[in-house]
Amino acid sequence: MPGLRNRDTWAPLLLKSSRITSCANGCSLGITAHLTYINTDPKPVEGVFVYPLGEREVVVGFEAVISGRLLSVKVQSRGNLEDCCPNCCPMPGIHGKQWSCCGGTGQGIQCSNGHLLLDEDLERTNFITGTGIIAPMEVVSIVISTTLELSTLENGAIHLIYPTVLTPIVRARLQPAKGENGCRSNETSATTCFGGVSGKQEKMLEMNEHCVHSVFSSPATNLAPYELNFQLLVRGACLLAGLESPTHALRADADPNAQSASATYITLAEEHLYDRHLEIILHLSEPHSPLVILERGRLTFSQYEQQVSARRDFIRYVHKEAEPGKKLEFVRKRYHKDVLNNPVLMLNFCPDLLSEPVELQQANRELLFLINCSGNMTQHSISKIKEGMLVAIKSLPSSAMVNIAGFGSVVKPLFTSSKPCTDIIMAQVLDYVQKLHADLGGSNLLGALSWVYHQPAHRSCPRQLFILTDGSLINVGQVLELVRRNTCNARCFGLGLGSRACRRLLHGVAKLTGGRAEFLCDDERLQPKLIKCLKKALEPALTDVRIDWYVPDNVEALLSPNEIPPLYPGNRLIGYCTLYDVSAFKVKKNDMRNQANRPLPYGSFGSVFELSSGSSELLQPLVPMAERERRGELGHEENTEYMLRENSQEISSTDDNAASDARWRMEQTSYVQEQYTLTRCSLGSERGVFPSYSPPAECLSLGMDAASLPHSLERVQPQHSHSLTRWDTSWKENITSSMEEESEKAGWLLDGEGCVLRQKDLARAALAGRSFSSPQGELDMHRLRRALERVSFEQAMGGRLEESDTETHNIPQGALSLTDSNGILFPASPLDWDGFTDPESLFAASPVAQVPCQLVIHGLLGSKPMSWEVSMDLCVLWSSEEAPQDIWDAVVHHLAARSVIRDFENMAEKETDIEHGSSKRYRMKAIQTSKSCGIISMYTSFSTTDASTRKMFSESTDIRHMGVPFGSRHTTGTRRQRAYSVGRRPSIRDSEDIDNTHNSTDRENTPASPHSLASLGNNVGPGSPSAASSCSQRSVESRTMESFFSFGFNLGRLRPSHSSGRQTPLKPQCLSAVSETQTNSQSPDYLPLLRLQLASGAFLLSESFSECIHIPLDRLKRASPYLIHRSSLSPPYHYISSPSTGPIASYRPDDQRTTRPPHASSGLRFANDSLTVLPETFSSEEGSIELVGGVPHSDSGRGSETDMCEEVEPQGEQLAHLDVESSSWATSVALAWLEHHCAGFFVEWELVAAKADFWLKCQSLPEGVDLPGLRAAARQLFLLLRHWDENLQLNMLCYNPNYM
Amino acid sequence: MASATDNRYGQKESADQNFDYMFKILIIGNSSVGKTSFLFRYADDSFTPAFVSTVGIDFKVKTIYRNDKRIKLQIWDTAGQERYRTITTAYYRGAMGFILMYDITNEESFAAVQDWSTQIKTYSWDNAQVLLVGNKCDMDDERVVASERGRQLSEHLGFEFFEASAKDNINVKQTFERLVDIICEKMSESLDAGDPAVTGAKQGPQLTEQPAAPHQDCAC
Repeated sequence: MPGLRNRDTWAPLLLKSSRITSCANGCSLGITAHLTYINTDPKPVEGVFVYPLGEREVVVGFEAVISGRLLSVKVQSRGNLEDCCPNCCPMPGIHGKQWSCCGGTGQGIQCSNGHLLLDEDLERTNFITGTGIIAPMEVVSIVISTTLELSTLENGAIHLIYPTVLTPIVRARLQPAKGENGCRSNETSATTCFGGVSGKQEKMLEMNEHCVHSVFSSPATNLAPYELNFQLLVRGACLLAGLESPTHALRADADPNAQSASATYITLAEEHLYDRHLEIILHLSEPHSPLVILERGRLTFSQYEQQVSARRDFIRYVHKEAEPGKKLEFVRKRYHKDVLNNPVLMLNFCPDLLSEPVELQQANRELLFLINCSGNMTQHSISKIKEGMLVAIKSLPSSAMVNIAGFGSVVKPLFTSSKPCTDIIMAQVLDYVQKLHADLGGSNLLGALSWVYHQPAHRSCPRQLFILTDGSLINVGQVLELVRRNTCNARCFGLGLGSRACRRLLHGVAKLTGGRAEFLCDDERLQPKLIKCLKKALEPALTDVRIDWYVPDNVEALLSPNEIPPLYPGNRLIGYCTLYDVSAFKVKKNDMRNQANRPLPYGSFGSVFELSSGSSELLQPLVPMAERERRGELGHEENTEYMLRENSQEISSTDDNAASDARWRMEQTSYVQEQYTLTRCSLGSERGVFPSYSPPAECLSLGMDAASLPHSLERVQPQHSHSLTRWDTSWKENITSSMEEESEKAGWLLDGEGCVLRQKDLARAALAGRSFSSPQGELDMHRLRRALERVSFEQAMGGRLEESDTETHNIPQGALSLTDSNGILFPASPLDWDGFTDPESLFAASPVAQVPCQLVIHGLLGSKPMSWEVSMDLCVLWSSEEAPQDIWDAVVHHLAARSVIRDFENMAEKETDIEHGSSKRYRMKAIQTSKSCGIISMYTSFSTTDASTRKMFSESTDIRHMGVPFGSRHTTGTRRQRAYSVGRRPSIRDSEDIDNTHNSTDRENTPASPHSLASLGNNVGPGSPSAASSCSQRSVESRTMESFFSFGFNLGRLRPSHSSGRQTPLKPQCLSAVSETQTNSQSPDYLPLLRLQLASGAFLLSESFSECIHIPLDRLKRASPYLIHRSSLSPPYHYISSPSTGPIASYRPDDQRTTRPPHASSGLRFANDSLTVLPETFSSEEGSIELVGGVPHSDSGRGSETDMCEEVEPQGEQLAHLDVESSSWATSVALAWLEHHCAGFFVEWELVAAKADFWLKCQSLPEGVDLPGLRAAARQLFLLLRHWDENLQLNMLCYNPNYM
Repeated sequence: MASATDNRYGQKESADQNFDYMFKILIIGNSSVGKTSFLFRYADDSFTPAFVSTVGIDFKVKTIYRNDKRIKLQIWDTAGQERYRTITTAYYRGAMGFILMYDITNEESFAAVQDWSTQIKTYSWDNAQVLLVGNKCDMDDERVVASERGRQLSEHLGFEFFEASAKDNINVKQTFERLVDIICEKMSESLDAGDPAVTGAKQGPQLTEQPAAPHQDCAC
């Protein structure tokens, strides 16, 4: 489908040549492709160009030349399109049906009037434009430029996949090649040479083609070979370690004039064979370090200032408002429009999450299962789900949270919010699963998802959403769009049962959120793929990610994105920071000098937005609209800004001249941390997480604490004088007064916000104190600053860890550091101060040219806080030197603009249901950004213009949003046409704003500019710019980290080994169970055993246990390594004793504070029944559960001891309960049994076994038995049993399916 | 086999960038045989005994005069560690010369020469010239690879052979100059033979635009 097509027949036009030039800079990629098509049809055809866009790809330029006509596209508001053709879509419902994913026909793509109909998702993911009539044998030249964010692999390598349109596959040529290289055809043709699997694959492909959308997603093909010219320029903040391509042989060269390999040109080394598309993998020399790329704006800071100052509305605005601060406000309101004019920093970071073993069982996850229970679900699917969910629920680590919901036309969740995985909860979930029925009407996944997204997020507990369905939907586009807007909220896994499951939907949600989609054949078991997804859901994640940017004085920043999702292995974090030099717009009066030099800490859009997004969804309504609007509008101001500004003013006015001068200079030379304006972007972490962390003094807590925000302004105002006093006094070495002020302040700041602020002040005071002492005469400003930051940072981290979440605990910590710094470190400072007040040394030490900028990334890996930092020098931005221009100079800007637009879109859409006004405002901002940057948004669209006639190109293909009527339009296109011609990558875009008078298209392929790299260098030694950004990475480990379990469950041990895996006569299919061949409706026999597993992973040595594994209890006891078991047996023990025998001892939960009842005590029959009974009882008090368990734990005279256990309970972690012999023996037997009897199902019980093994490892085994010994004993049991078996009546032991 | 560049890179005309030919040369060999030191000795005349494993692929530029021609050498230093071996092969392509290096005090590095030679044959073009260099010849008391073995191997592989020391600056310059010479020889042979790969547009405008340098001898 992609490529230039005949609009009527959708037949592709012949591609003659494809010339691809591209530039990868870090994780950004710009592609400009010149495609030449020819109409081989004897008749004129109407052409339509379809270009499927990647998820993070934007079109930044398109031009087509057809018989002298030059077509180009332009972003315009969507409003203009939403008219006309009223009878085209009389009933939206019909179109809904047309677009129902699997089952529609290809005709559904056009309505009766011949307009293209796209749903929300297709519209976003495709660039479609009509080219008008193409005469026979006419050549069409198309130039399309796109920009995209690249993804990374787990090893940090950058993966480039070129759009298939650019390198279509030539099938005709493939056929002869098939003979010589058969396996190649696997990927390209439906028929495979491997007979075994082909049937299944074909079926799937066939199914896939039923989807209408597949016409867009299917790879491009061409009828004949074409000319391919490919070039990739690789730049970046670090050198390449190498590169490879899974598809092509590559060649790497450098520009002959280059002095280093900072830019590498990559071309194809061998002829393109037309049998595959193009992929390249770039290996960086520092794959897991955060790297920052600086890309200059179109204008320098001074040019930008001039441009803004010359604007008429600016002059009017300034005239009208005499207040000096208004200038700044005006500029701030323009930030989002001026992204392209100002420099942008792009952060790329692919953390290495797999280097350290993270115990699966410690994974904090919220697992949400959404099960389609609509009437469409077949009973077959439901029963499969019941079985699969049992294994999945039993596989959940005990640290996870779980919830389950069936959805149809309504959502029926089990719990109102997710619950921790205790025995009770698990039993309830299992009960819920067993009661599932396909009785909930039509399937409204959209509603179910919005329910999910309105669930409060749990901190450090990334949500993993499993969608189990077997049908299709009518509103796939809407669902995908909803998921797209909430990618930070949940990672989605799709499990499609049966052939009707909608591939587009499940693949779509999984791809958007980084999950996985799996599809089952009708007769395939669910468990293997479900567990596979579950394993992925539990992989290590970096959560609570936050980026702190420290930018120089007078520079403000627009940060994007405003939500950062958790990072899983292979994910990369991309952040944008657009810099605005506001010094010119600030007040420049002499007595206000300090104000200009004072840092202004401000939140970015990021921190502003986050409040109402993501995790704090529930808190949102608590924030008054007025407040949010104000913040939204100013975008950059946070409460303490006022405080500090005020602060500095006061300082300058109260101080005598000499003192303030010295101070001023110090501040100017970036001496203390306060020099750095702190902007931050953080994912909505809940209150109490980060507040105690206060890196540089002004790290604000906004965003931490949504609920208290509305009050913050009022609360902060009165503090000004106090913090001022503190500054003054600390400088005058009058510490006590400062301390008094602090305590006084604390007195009237009662809420959490106040505490937080106070901590900030304390931390800042501490920092100021430290800053004087740590350099010890050393005047290297930069190093000093770095050292300071480290100190303060570590201090803060330490505090945060030790004091966990309680804010009250943090106060002593802060106070301590204050005392510490003032009392001990401060005395050293006067010496240093003398040095600093000396102008020569001051300036000699720190050349003015250095403009440091820093960023710190924080996150939690498991429960371990991590941080990384990068430093760079921005001095190049202020140098008058002209930056070399090339065609790739706006790639990062385009991506930044896209990211900003997405932020606005998400905000606008989120606000819709709450208040219309702010939604409109965000929408407006999205449109403004979109138009000024030429990047499409959901509120704008491309319109084609005929540049040669300066008219809107109107008779082309109309593309319509589904259900929106439309028709031909003849809007007068009076806009300025772009000056570039075909062949140029547009470096500026025509914009609605009249302020874009710039035309800097530069065709020349200048070599990579060394500046872009040098600018990032921030060498410690002054004046020696290095080519790579100096970056230091360190992970801060907590001193107080409690023992971090690093046990890895050795899966290899459990792999089916033929020596031990003797096939038992009882279950012949056990070992040979290749899951797909297993016709269902008969449970594999490990399920009953699984039911008995406790949430912690342990098993109990009970009658039901022995029944499940078909080993009599007395034999289990006889084979036990524990003396206590063997001695408890009287020689003539009858294993068929009454069920009331029960467990020999009740199990006491180990590491859960919540007590779990020893419920898994009755026989197998009971175990089944209990599932229907237990929830009611479990929800009640424990006492009643004891009754339900109903099993006297008095067998073998241990009852009293068990009671004692209950008393010992507070020391749960010590696992001192007396039952450990039984449960550890049972658990190891269960493991051995699974290994021995069900090796074929390893992939299914893998996680369950891992959990059990983990539990075993955490036990301290009595009687001197060690874990290897226990395991060996368990294995030996099966050897012993062989001989025992001979003497036994088999049927007594047999598992009876009727019991199920 | 002259400068394998064409217009796609664009040209920046400035005095120090004038050259008649540009040769892309790669230094390869096992990890820690001294590739980076060798390059630094040649390009910067510096040596540091500290070992820093190379990860990022970079090159140094050195312009020499040879046979009346200004020849710019773009000498690429590669990572020797095994895990980088497959991902650096793209750099082999288009290289006119290789310096295959081993460490005379390290038997393993010598044993790997054969593999490296295969690597060159697989990924570079046929005309590429290879020089075998046994580095660290200053450490004679720790020598484990006799000079003669190196020579025999080089004859077997059809390479020329040098023993050199980046530390004591023995044979470093000679190695590169010899490599340039044999590349030049090969190039003129190919030119005579009318090898289409060498003649034609590939030579780039530098070849004709720059006046020949007056120097006869190597002036660097």
